[in-house]
Amino acid sequence: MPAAVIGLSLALACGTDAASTFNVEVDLPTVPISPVVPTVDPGEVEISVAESSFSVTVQRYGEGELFLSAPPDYYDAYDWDTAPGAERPEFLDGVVQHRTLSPDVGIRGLSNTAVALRGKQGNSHGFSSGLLWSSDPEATPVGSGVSFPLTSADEVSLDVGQNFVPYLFFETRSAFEGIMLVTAIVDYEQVEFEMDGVKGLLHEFKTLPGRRLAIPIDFGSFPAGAHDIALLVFPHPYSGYGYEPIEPALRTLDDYRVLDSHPDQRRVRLVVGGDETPARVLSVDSVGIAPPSENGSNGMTIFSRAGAAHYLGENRLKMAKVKLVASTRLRPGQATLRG
Amino acid sequence: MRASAQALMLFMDYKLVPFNGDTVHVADVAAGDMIALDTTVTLPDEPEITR
Repeated sequence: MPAAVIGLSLALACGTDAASTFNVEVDLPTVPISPVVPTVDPGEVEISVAESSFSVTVQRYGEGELFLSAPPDYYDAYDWDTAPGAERPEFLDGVVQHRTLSPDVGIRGLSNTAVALRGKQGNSHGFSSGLLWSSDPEATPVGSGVSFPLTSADEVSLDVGQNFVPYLFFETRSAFEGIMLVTAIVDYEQVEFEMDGVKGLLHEFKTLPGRRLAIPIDFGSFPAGAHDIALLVFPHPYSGYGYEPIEPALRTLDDYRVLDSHPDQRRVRLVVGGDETPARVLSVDSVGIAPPSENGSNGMTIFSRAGAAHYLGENRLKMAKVKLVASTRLRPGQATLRG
Repeated sequence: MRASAQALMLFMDYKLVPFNGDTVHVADVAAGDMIALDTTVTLPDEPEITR
């Protein structure tokens, strides 16, 4: 079920005006948020992080109050400089760090039960993301008077000169927190875009457990035609660099983890000015073949030693000349180019 | 464009980099197929790893 649909169903189940407060003393940072009182479901939970405890306030939001503006102290309890996984290598430039969130960012806690249940689900990332959009340029999830003004954006039509301004919807499960890195691909080129009012090629933000965030994004306007837009969200982007210097002579492609990052991808087909003509037409420059029987096909992409007869298992190499091997187990029609 | 076409792009340090003369290549890969592209990837010499 898409995250947006989950949000809608929870909202409709909520009552109004009822509020309760519970204080729970737990150890940071690995304690999952578990149900405090089973009867509070499906109330909403507001989580603030203090130095030594989580203060959990269960509050039932009325319909139309799906998100509140992000508080200015949202990140105050988070130590950016020493937290695990927050160490961005100095050579990695062009990253906009969002260490505060503007009031335009919508934020809402998940109910205790929802957090606990989703924490048990087998999602290795511990989060989900999506793009929300409305044909009404004034629509915002923050303090909205309707149940949910934005919907999942897969197909979007705009007028010429109109900006594409969706929201990045981001939901974290129990005990999941970390750095996220976001970048955008428009018509198969990496482009700068605005996130929470700041323009950049790569955007870094922090997520806390049991939260829903709706972060405004502005891609700007597009010329007439059909555009292919993808938003890539990388969890824990700096963990692959390691914390210890690597002996250069032993450095391999594996050490760089160039293939071991699996971003969450959200893709939108954007038609501008009613013109379905692809903004960029790509031509096929290679054709797949049946894999050798000993290799099989498992839908992966690896680097292999140049000239290797067997691709799998020979992807540890020191440098330079390589063979890029990609295979798929998708059925025809599942992988389509819209350009 | 066939429905089995796939765009191939290469990222290094989260930035799109060209390989074999372009930043995007298209492979026509049917279900169960694989492709193998000979290319050259130049890695940074000695990136500064900092805590």
